[in-house]
Amino acid sequence: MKGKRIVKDKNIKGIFSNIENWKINRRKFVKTLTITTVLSQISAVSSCVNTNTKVYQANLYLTALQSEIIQKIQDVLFPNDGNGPSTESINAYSHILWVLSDERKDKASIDYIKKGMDWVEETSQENYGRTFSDLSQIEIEELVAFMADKNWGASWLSMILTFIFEALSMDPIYGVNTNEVGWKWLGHQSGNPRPNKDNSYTNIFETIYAN
Amino acid sequence: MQTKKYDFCVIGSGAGAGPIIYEMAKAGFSVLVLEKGPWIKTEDFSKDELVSCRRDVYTPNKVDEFHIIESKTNDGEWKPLATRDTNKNYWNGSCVGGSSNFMSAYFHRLKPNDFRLLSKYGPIEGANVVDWPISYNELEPYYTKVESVIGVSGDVRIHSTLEPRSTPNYPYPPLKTNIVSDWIDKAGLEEGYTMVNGARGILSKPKDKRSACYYSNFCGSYGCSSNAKGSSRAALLDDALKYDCTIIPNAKVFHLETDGHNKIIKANYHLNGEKHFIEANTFIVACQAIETVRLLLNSKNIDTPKGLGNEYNQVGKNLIFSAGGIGGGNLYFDDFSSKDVAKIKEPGVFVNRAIQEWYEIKDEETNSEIKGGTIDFLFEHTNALPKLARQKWDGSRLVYGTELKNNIKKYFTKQRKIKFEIFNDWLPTDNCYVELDTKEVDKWGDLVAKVRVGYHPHDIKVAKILASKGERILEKIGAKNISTGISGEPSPNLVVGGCRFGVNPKTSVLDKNCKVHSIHNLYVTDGSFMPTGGSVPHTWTIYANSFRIANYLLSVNF
Repeated sequence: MKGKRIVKDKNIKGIFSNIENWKINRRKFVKTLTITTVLSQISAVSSCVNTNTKVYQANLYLTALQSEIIQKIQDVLFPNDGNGPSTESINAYSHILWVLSDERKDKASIDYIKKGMDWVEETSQENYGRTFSDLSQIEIEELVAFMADKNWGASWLSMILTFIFEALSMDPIYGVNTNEVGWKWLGHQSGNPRPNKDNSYTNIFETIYAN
Repeated sequence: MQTKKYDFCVIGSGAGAGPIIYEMAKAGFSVLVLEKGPWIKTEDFSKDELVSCRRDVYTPNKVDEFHIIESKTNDGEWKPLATRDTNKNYWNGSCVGGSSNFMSAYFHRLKPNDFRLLSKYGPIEGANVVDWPISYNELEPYYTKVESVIGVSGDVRIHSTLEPRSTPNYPYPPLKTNIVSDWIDKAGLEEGYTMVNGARGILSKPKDKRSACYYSNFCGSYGCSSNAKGSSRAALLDDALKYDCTIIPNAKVFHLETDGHNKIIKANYHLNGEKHFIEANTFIVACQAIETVRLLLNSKNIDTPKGLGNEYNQVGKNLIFSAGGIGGGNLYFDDFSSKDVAKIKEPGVFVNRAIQEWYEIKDEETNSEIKGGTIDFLFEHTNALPKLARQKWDGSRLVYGTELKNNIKKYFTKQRKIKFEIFNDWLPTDNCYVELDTKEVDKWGDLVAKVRVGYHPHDIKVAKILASKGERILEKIGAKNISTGISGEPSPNLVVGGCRFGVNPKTSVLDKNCKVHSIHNLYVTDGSFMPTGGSVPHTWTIYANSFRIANYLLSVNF
């Protein structure tokens, strides 16, 4: 854990701040990968999901282990406990992939998201002597509690929660908040006009720089 | 290739630029506007929180364009940090119309004593307080002009610090308000004073091609989809374009060129990866305080080696923000009847109430009158993300799981948060200024601005007095968990000064008509001119002063 502490003390605060204030290289006009592309990655994962035992596959952005880590961590942070939507019903995992696919985001932020997944695996090895994939549900919850008690862990988990919140409350045009399930749970009334194809995040830079 | 020489070249297009562009174009002059940001049209705006608030769509990418901010550490050292590495952002809307597109448009005039802070209240040790070179009476006609041209809605109530007006009331009736506004009125009267019916730079009735406010519930930080909000773009630029006015978006001016005889001849700018220039007879700079200073300093040449107008090292000095803080409390639905709860929850309508009873305060320590300020009441923004984010921390403990979901559900469905914002003078000091960084450059290779953001302890003292008044009103209307955060942390969206106007060229950058003392044809018309900021949001004053300068320019050019 020493290495993590060093990283935490020197860097995490700044990196975390960057995560909370996304960077977009709008001048590059690099179009973000479309939601369809990201969802095709999800379907690849879903096709391998057995109703009882999920099988996690690598995709364009994450290894199979990272994919498993982020989904299981999301479920601990925002459990399917009967109160409101689940991470699955708001497509929280696909949102993470969408974020990772955003070429307007700076590399440091993307790296930090993935680095945290590596820290989860390291913590699993250090605390339990085995890979995260082999942990029981109780052990995963213990691991999250352990991380949440450390500054470096809490910062990363907090960021993952922010992405869950985005999936919960963003416009469904982004492939999240399916059927407005998040808005309905919160009693949240969206504003009008809602985003459309031209002025949603995916295309707005092309739209306004064409004016 | 530039071929035409314009009458006016205006750099920037926000509240400080719009009135000049509008008036000069209408009067028949040729006007060329160079705006660093893109041209976002009304139809491009939506109420998408991701675009408006979660991603930097309306402001520059902080990797490409950033500021160096110097804050004081607990050890008393000034520590510079690049905003690209922090969660700070000193951009406020970089696009045609500037940050006026995204303002909440709380409109208050300054009061006569704001123009003579030094002579009225006396010096304060460590603060560079001065009187303005103009009086309230000289600006009053232009406040009135803003009411009709930009469109200000409200209802004038007689109260103890009401400023003199040349018209009895606003040209647009007040916007619709929530039941909470009635309760605040009643609470004020019980405390012995009249609550201000807060004016807004938002149309309550249609005006020309602009529609009335449709109470979208997403106003501040969002572009307006009905053009009811009085942005420079919607209220002024669209009309100016009917005349000899050209706007070039994405044009970043990096250097103003002189002829060696104290006259600007060219504005050099970047566009699409190439360098261009524009020639004009008169140049107007209105890039918002920090960037205006940066442009003047980056325009140094052999004749002006310290930067334009900087012979006496005044450019960048006395930058000011708005001091104060934010308070709030929860209106728990269990504490009210179901009928009242339905009214409290009414979306879209505003609060629009303010306290100005303590715009001047009797200081018990010194038994003297000191300058106070304004307390504006408002509901918590409808944005979901900040409300969600606040639920994940209990002090320093991360909250997650079922506990988090329970907290979220309760916060969103069992209460509505009522807040107040305090506005008091950010006293100008030697520890709040803009200069050029010596090494760091933006993506074009131009030196970035370094901003020291020190504050005067007097600002905190006044804010705390005002906070107690705001909290008292929240108590009386039944709010719970009332608290206020007061700090010396600047609000980057409320920044003025840095090129103060004045009579003496040795202590000011601009003359009373906002012309750079030492340059024949260069004017600064954004909030940079303000030597003190008053105790209200600045936008109305910036608009009014820009109309005043436009009137002056018309008088000397005809």
